[in-house]
Amino acid sequence: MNTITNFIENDSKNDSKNDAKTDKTNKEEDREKDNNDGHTPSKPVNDTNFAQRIDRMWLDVHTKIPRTDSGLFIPGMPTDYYNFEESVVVGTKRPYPGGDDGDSGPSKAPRVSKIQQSARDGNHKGTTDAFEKRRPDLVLVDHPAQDHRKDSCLWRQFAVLLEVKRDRSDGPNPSTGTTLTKLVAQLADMARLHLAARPFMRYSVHLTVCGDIFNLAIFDRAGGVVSKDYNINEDLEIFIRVIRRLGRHLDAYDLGLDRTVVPLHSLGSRKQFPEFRVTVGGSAYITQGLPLWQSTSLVGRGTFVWSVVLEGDPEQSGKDSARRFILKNAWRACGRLAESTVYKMIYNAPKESTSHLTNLDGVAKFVDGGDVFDPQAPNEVVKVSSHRKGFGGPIDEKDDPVLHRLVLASRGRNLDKFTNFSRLMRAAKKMNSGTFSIFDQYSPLRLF
Amino acid sequence: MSSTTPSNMEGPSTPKHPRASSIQHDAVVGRTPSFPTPHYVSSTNINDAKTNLKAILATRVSYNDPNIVNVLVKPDQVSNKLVKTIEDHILGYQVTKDFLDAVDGQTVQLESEMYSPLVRRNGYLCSQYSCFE
Repeated sequence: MNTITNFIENDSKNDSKNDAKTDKTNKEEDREKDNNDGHTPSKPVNDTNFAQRIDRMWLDVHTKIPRTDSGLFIPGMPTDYYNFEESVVVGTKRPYPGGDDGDSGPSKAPRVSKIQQSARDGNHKGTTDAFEKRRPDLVLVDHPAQDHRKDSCLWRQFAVLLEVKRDRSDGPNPSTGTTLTKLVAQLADMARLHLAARPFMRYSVHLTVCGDIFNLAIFDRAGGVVSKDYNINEDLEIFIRVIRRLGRHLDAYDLGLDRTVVPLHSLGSRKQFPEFRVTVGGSAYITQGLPLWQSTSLVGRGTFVWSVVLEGDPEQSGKDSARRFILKNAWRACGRLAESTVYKMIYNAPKESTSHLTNLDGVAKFVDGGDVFDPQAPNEVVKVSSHRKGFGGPIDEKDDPVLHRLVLASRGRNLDKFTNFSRLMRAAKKMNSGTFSIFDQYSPLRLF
Repeated sequence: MSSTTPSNMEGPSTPKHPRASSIQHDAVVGRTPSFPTPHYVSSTNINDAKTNLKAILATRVSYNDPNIVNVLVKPDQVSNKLVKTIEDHILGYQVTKDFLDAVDGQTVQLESEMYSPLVRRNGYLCSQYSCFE
């Protein structure tokens, strides 16, 4: 990183100077000093819930293009960090997505990379730019103390994103009316990538500092909320408190992680993509590796699809091969029928009522699923309005996404894993069998 | 030799293969690739993303919310003593005080206007800056 801005570490140093105590002792001291209402800011090391461990630092990434894990493809993010770095030297960051109105905003440095310049001037417009415009200025990253690498970070390590502009006129709140400001559009674009790269998030937290104005904003599957303007000179005390809380007190759940999942590895680990323990119905499942698919849209279902294994599966303990399932985690429109309900209707329907349908070989085998209940309010399902209690505008009841999960026993395989054409065609036939009965009659695939 | 015998003096009758340069990237033609393309290429057209976000978020963002900081961050739970110490430290240090004054007056220098070592882009990792400057 060009500059490592570590306010949290400085805090610790201050504490150390003032109180002549070690950092560890300081954490305990903070817990006692700060007027927490039962909230534990930092858990003991032996606690297995990594969401409650708070090891964070601020990084200046405005001259870097953060990447995502190798093998995790999210449009708009580079994955191969070092190859990317070698051939594309980071230059000026454009301030807003699009930037087609000629407003260059606060320039930070002249572009010097010929590769980038040619990419911009040539037919590849919108390619290198896409990465350039989608990187925050500073980020608060989950960063395990034992990890000494501070020169790069991944999108999934971001806990909070901070955007800096020189002029207060660039702030997120519109001067009049409710017109979407450029900065909010920029934040929303980064938020959707953040929510795609950091799994099981309910919302993405952002700070903005524009001139002497600072704001807090969150973006979730129903939109966003931007705080009122605070003046960094007049409200310096609030600024200090906010930075302190974000860096040292608020755990991953407070910063948007779904409270019904438990990360089994550090969220800040660079090497290990964290596994998550996810409860569906009465069973717990453990995610395996990277998600098979993730949505990159902001408003909508925000679907994640995972390969999972059943926790404590006896077949897993006895044999090498564990039973694998598919877990689908998505926000459903509350006015629509839940996907799990549709599966239950299909599989619970009496045979005579489905006899006129083609066979259901192509329909995934349903195991379990339903809406997710809020652990803090057991009789309520998790909705967007659940984390917006007390702030933000009222959410229309018909437009309040509900968190929904289902587990399927059917697993497909990648197209490149098929070893011969007839097997591939049989798979294609199965995919169509649940939808189009005439396919069987006229398709040459019936030969298979 | 008969005049109907093919001669290698004549040009080939097969159509020319399209030039490689006419094959465009997915992103250029607005197509989403089904596999990870070279990492310089984003399949997402940023102008489309901007337009979509503007259309979708237009009525979905609440501005000037007075409560979100108190509800979400709970700043009051930081000890007054600690805040006072940090505040005194910031305001007692002339450099940060001058900086805050500059922020207030919107006279903060851009990075490009600062002295050269901070803005040099030499292609090395940032952690290596200290070795060269």
